[in-house]
Amino acid sequence: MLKVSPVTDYPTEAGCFLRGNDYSPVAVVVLLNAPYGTLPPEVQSIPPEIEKLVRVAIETGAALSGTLQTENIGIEKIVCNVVGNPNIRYLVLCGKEVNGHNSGSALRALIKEGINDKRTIVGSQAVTPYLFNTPLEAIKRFREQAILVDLIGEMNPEIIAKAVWSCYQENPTPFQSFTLYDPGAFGETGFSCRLTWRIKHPEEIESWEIDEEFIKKIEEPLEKKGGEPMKGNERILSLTKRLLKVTEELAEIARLCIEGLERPEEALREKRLKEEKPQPTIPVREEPVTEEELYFTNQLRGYRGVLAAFKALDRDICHDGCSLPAAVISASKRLKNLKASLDKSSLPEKKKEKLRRELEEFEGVLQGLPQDTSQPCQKSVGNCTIGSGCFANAAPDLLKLITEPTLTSIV
Amino acid sequence: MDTYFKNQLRGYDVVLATLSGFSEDICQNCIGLSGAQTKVIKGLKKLRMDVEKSSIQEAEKEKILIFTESSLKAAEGLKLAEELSCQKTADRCKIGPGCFPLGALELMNQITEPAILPEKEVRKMAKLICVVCGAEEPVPVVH
Repeated sequence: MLKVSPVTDYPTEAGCFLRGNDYSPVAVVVLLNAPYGTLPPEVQSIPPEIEKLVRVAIETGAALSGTLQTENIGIEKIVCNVVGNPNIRYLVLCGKEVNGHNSGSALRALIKEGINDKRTIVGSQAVTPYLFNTPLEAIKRFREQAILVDLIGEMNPEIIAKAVWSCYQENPTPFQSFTLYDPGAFGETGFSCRLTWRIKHPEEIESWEIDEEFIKKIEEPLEKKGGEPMKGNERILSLTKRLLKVTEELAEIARLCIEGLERPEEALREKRLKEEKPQPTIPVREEPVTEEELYFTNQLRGYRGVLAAFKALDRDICHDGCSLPAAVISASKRLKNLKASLDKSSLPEKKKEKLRRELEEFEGVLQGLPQDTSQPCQKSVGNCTIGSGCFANAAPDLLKLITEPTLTSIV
Repeated sequence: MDTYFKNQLRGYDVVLATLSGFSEDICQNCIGLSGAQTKVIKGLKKLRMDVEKSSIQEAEKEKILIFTESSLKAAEGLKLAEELSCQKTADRCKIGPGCFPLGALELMNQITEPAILPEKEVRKMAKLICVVCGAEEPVPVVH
């Protein structure tokens, strides 16, 4: 049986995985179901049951065993590390599907369907299944080299261990519905690649990345707008203008290169200065001192969002409906009550005045919104087709997010 | 099918306006708003891809794409401070366990029809490939 050495810089991509026997034919991917949107540094602790699966796989003899969270960078790292070791022929995919990312189904779809010309995994249900950073050759090679042993949903360490063990048997070994055995290394040498290869090879532009409009302009024939071809000096002039434009662009690139090489620090500083954006003005609101003040401040924060939603709905079909006016009237009443509570409160007059001004501003906004509830419901007339829900009714529910401090404890 | 896209865009319009309202306040410094912004951008990009792939009329498609682009611009233009931190952790947001930007995202849940975009069939796949002749044998996935 043929076994070969992985590429010298194997595993080329770092990540949350353990490295085992390089000559093993199996790598194990355990889906890490962390909350969607969680940033990697915040994934401080891997759930013990997932850690156990990773550990069991490596101890049973896998070449690599690690976790997968994202449907793009995570999968790209797997691709890079698998193609770097031709001995890896099986990919055991287990663990519970990653909510939001759907990385398991994305990896499955990648092996089955591959990617399209915009580098999106075909048939994936994930939100962003884009493999922008891996060489196409590596993706093609990955799909040829690795066979998927799809155990998505499986969390039993014994089954994972059995799957790994079955993959490196010399004779075909039944495992559940699979027949697994070590077929030896893939027929080609290891492929060394990293996600950052494009930084070193920016010239490797793919056709889909090129602005079609830009290409059209380049390919535009030297003709006048009327379709009449240019003649003599006119044609030369047009060509010369284009050449001048190209030369200017090239000169700018050359200048930047020279500056960067001759005085890299200054160039870097200049770049930083250029990139520095003016900081948005952050609202300055005095920190509420008392619970009572906090109550009113929180309510006003909530109303700011509710009113913004109302204004957006007023621009839409809700303007002609009955739900938005009803919600506006209800919000006005609540705002009036809030104002009455504020008047009765024991806050210092100066603070009261400040809060009152904000309340009055909001009242003014509500006055400008529709209040005619006799208009037809936009669902009944067939304009609103979102289902049984209602944006106008749901927007005021944002105020329900405010649970502290309670009014009863204040007033 | 275009009803699906239009409803989604109506929803994103309200969500974006609400987020923009909250960005006038301390949410501007909050990772909650930044996270919501990311989700809206991702959702809109996915929507754009779905529209491009869809079989709706070209004129309609163009209209929807224009609206999607303007929503994307609005999402990308939400006011956010350069340095963000959870305002609850920073002890500035004291509304309780709730979070306004996440609550704004929930407005999308009002849309229940059309249920979902008709999805492409993704069969649970596993195949064994013969290393000698390359023949493929599909096998059912075991769960």
